[in-house]
Amino acid sequence: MTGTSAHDTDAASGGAAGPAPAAEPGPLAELDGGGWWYFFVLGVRLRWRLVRNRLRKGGIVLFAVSVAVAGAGGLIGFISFAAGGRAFDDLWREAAAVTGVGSLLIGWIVLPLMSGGADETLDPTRLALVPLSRRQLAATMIGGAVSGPATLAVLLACCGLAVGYGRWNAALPVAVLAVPVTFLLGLGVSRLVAALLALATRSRGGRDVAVVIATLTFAAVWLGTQAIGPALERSDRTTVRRLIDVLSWPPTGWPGRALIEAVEGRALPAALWLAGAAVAAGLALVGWARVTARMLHTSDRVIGERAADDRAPLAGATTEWQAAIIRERRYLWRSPGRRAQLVMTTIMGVGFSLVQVVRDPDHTDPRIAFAGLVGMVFAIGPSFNVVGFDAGSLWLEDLTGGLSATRIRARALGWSLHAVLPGVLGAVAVSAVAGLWGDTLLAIACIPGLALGGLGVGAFCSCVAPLPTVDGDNPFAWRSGMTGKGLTQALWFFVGLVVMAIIAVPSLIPAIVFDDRPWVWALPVAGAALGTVVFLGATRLAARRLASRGPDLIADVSVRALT
Amino acid sequence: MLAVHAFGLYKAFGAKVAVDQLTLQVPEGSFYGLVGPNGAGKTTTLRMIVGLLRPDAGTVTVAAVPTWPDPRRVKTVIGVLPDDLRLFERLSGAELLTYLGLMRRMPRPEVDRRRDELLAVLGLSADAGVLVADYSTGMRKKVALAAALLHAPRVLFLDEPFESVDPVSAHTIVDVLSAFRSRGGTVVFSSHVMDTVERLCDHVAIIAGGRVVRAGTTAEVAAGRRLEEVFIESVGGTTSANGALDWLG
Repeated sequence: MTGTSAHDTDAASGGAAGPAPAAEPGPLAELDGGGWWYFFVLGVRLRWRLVRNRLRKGGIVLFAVSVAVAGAGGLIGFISFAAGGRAFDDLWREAAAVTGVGSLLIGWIVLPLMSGGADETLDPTRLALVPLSRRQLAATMIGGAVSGPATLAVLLACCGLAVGYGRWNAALPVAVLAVPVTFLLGLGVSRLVAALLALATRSRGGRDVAVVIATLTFAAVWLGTQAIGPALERSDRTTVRRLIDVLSWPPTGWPGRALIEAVEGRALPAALWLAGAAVAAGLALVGWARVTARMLHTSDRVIGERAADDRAPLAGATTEWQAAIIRERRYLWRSPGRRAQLVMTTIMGVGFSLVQVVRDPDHTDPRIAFAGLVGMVFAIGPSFNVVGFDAGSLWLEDLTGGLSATRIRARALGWSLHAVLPGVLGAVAVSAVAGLWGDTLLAIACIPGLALGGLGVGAFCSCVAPLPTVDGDNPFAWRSGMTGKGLTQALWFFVGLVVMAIIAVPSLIPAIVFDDRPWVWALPVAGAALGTVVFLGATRLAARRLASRGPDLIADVSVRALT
Repeated sequence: MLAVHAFGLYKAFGAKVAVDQLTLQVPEGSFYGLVGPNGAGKTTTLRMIVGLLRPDAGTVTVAAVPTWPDPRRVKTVIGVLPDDLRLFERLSGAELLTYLGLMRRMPRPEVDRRRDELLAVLGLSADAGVLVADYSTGMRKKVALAAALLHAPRVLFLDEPFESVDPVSAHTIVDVLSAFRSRGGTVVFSSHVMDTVERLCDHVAIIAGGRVVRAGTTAEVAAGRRLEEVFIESVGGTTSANGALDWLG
């Protein structure tokens, strides 16, 4: 029937079924001509249509939470800038302008990368087959980028700059213009960084380097912002001044410098700093357009052939347990997502530990080494999704007997390096920075028990609330989609952390309190035993929960569920 | 008159040469099949021809329009059904076609008319409002084909169009392609299903190791034998199960 319809369609009418081939293509000038606003509006409409369709798919709770969080964040930013600009203390005013704007922009750059990437409106490859000029493609992408709830929240926060730093003097226009300039600077730089990272991740070496650089940058900036608050509280004006000076040199600090000059009524310097920021914003947007256009003519396949592994297949494995554990070990190095997560969690975990020292540098207590263990909170996160990770392959497990306790244990232990490494390095780093090594070994000795307990609890939570996650090649790509399951998983993660804390109490607290007694070395051993019991029990419970529920699990975490 | 003329195409990914000095001539109005084993370079070749992957060397023209260095013009005369099918998952089928039509700056009434007609012909009218994410594989292929046809291209490139498609959907796709060709369009498609190629194509090229090892009309290439036999002979296939797998059964 459909075929008949196709043949019956009149070619002259331009019928779509077998449409008449197009006339000669127009010259390039015609393709380039105008239409910037047209494509911008199309980008905006696409973004909001995707949002609307997400609501249609039942994501209204998730959307409402996202809008509420974004709105609250925007409002807090607005109030902070408005109040900061009206502070009586010059130093506070400058700190709010330079570090506030800088933090906002850097957060905009880094947070989307850390939280799993951007949505499909910012992926140019979906428009690769449409004959768009670089300008038209940029207009479409900018339209999509400026119209999401989070972006509008940033704009709301930026509006606080005009309210806080606007004065009835010659520099008033600078304070007002700082709003769009700051917004566009953040937009341009964040998209440029994301595009550059996406381009870098098309080669294997570039991908690993990009992960390390992105994580180190974020950790460094985060440590800086963590240091400034306590310095202000201690009225350490010299440290604050030094930090402001450092943070105001990169382009992300220029709008802040312009605002400081504007408050003082120095119109010309204010205008020059703002002009510099505007130029930086323009360059970033142009750079984004160029990188994006370049991505259309390369391919995901440029990652190229993986080197052949000449080792015997799963050498040394003769049992189900050995096969499962060796598979996990291979995955740890072969899966870019897992490697990236190991790098990220290690750097962030160590950074989180160091915050404890940076916030208060005058330590004399050797028990500071135990602060290094807080990095494990960051690191243990991935183990809460051992079932959802690479969920597309679960059917193979189901066909070969299902997710038994043995396999769940192997999966959980596959993430043990993620759990242990940040704790060990965190304890060493904290001890080194504080110069206090008395309890370092004791703190490290407590890690195996904590890790085992955490991995067991995480494995159980992952069986209750698995989040489908694609094991893709791009660690910055959107890996888990907007399924609404992330929220459930986050709640279980919180529950799991509470349980882990309770498990840690019997061994860790006495170790910290009685660190100078000889018998304290028995506590890590007892902790390891308790951790082992928890690990074995939790994974057994998890396997029981999944028994005979393989098909339900597969449906729940199938790749199709991602969309 | 050639619809596609690729000359000396070369592409390497690191040490791996995917396409090696490949030359291809597709006559206008033909139904041209690119066949080859997995990893032969079919997809890489197609991506370079349609402007999705920049070649390291060589030239390509499609409908007398050079693809490189700026592939925008050629995209106005071609339609492409890629293998990986990256679509806007959270648009409905109708919304996807509308959006792509507007991105091509087609007048809205014309977009609406062609969209509805394409959806009807491809049997997707009832699912026009369903999100692409909820489409089956066959429906995704069909909506992607509709997107490729929407702007009335002169040459259509299809990468494995019948893979994972049920016979009913395949029949619909064949009908649409035949109608397209009967109006003067050229169809180039890659496949490793020899029966389909033999049945549909009037020209065929066998690619192996990134090179064209045989090309011509289907009758010339087959030379009175089954195309599958010629294909296996050309790419050096062997049957290796003799005596092995005796534990089965």
